[in-house]
Amino acid sequence: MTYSSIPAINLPMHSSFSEPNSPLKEVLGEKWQTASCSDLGDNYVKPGPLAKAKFNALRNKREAIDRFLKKHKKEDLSLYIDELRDFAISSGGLVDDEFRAAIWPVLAANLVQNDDLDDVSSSYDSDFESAQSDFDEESPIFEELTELTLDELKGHKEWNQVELDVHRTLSRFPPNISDTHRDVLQTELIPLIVRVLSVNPRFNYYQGFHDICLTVLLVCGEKDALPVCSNLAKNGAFNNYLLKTLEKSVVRELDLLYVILSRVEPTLEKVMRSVELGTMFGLSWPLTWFSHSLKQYQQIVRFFDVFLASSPLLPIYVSSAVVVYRRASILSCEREMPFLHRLLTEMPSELPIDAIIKDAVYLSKLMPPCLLKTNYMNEYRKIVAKPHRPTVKTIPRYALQFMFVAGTVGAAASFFFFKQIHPL
Amino acid sequence: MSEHHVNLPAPQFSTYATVIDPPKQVTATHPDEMVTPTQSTQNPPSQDVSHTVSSTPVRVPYPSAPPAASSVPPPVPTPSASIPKKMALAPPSNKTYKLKRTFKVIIVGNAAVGKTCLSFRFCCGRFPEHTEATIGVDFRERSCVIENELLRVQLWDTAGQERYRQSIVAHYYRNVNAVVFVYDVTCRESFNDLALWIKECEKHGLVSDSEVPRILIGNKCDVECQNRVSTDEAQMFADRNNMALFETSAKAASEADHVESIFLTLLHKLQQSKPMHVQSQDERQQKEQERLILKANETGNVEEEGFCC
Repeated sequence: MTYSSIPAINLPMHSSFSEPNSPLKEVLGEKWQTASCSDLGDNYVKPGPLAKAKFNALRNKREAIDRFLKKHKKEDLSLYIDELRDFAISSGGLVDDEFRAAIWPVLAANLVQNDDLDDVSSSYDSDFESAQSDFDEESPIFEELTELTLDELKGHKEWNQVELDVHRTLSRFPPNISDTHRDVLQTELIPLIVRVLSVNPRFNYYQGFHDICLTVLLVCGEKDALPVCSNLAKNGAFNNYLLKTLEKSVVRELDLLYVILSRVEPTLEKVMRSVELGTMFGLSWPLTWFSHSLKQYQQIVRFFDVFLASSPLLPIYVSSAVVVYRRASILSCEREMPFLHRLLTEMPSELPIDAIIKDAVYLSKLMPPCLLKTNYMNEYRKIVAKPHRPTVKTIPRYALQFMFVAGTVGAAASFFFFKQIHPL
Repeated sequence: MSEHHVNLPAPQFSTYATVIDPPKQVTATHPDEMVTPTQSTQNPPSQDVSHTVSSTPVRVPYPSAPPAASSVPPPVPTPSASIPKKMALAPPSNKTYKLKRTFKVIIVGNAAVGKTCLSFRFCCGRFPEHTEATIGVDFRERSCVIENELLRVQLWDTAGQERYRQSIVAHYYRNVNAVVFVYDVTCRESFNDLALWIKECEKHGLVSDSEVPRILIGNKCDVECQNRVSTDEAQMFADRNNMALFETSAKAASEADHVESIFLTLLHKLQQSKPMHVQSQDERQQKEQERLILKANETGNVEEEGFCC
């Protein structure tokens, strides 16, 4: 993607990539309201065969999704979950917000479970079951959640914190949303989040979960956002984050980032390890599915397409792909922890999203989660421990050995010495 | 396109191996100062019609995260505010200094008391338009020259929510040179919770009689409120804990100099407290050993508990 000479001004607003039209829920229609892919249009990028091909591919995809949705309008879309996942993951994602509004609820109801080897059998079952019924005994069903009154919700222990965070989300809204509309959305968002938290009394809200709910609300609207968010909280990656401490959930997942890097980019991994960078730079990536750090609305929803359609660990693979993509900047950055931390927390505004997603999916096939967490993790620990072991361990050990040998020799010598003296 | 990728056998990241980020990200030690002028030259119309967001040119990034705000400031109504004024004591760009020191300062306090705004005010000289909840830890830096010595202040702006307190923020207490506690004068809870934050600090060896200076800032003093934390009470608390108290506001323009002076006071204190402390080889090795032992313990723990996901 080259944006070197962009005729930035004089363009109609709807053809902008960074300022998409209002992501309101709209009825599927003939007319394309949200022009997410027109950034590849003739007047935007220098016309060239590659740009044209990309544009056409995206247009074809948009038409294909539209045809698909029209064809199966009357049926239960979860029957076609594989097709929908394919649409979501492949280049361009679900293209338009109106498609997303229709497809996200289906994807969220059929989330991919942990694809660990021992989980494979059960994940097929849950694909079916979770779509039809809530087999989670204790959790209230959606009707009950919607029935909770505002006062009941306000009594929730997390209401205040959620309110604080939601009031600070101004910059997360696409700029073409009017102030009044934004106010409405913000007032809808607080009860939405607290309702989701009420799904399980053991859920602990974390700052960042509001970013997830906000994105879903923007795309799906108030009514559909609740089931989507509760499904994500119950069956998705966020279940762990909401139930366990961050240290035992997200931080451990992020540790895998180093395991991945050590296998694909050993030099990069060494640099990051040598300055003790840690993983805090990417903390918000899995916690908010990148919605906290990405700067463009279209990039955020594109990532959500993929994450809704793939294994809960994919955000970690995407994080690795992002780090690898920024290889050159990392290597040329000052070799100090703070600067690398800042470099990585600030996401560049232009990201080759499709390439990164493709690499992440490729990485997840190359190193599936089950191997990553076991064998590869152990191997990585060995790599980390290797060069330092001698300096830590050998000094006391040799010292002991030396003392032992010296002691024995000394004892033997004095024994002989005294033996020779004694007879006299 | 995905099929294309699957067919490729080599695990190379050929798609973008040569892509290099724009140089500003690599070289800028003050991203805001360096980016703002270039941005205003790129799109001059944004200053004339800055009150309507829709009229900004197409390629202005979607303003989302606070880091974004720091690198590309959103159009500000008054043109004078969009031109970065020279920061006090800022080092001239053409001079190099023999004496250099870096100070690590951590800012802690409850959620939404204004930690991000205070650090932003100090490092970038203005009040950020929109801030979001901080997730994890953000880093900001400012360089000052005092007595011919280049001092770099690294501010670590932490997340305030309790969930982040133990597991995440804890990593950042190591080797800090100063701690800034922040509370909201209009929010009693944030004042009451200071005790918890102090306890948390003491867990990491930052006790009141140590040489690490600690200061207390009551933020948002421009906000009218009946139930505000009184200055006397705060002063008593500060005295008890051997801290200096400041009441200020990161937002009010009239208090801007005050925020500046608070941090510069701290900086002077830091500058005098440890004259020329250079880490010796022995010290470094000792630290390294401690770290390794800690790390070995950590990995041991992880192995015991196993991986759950």
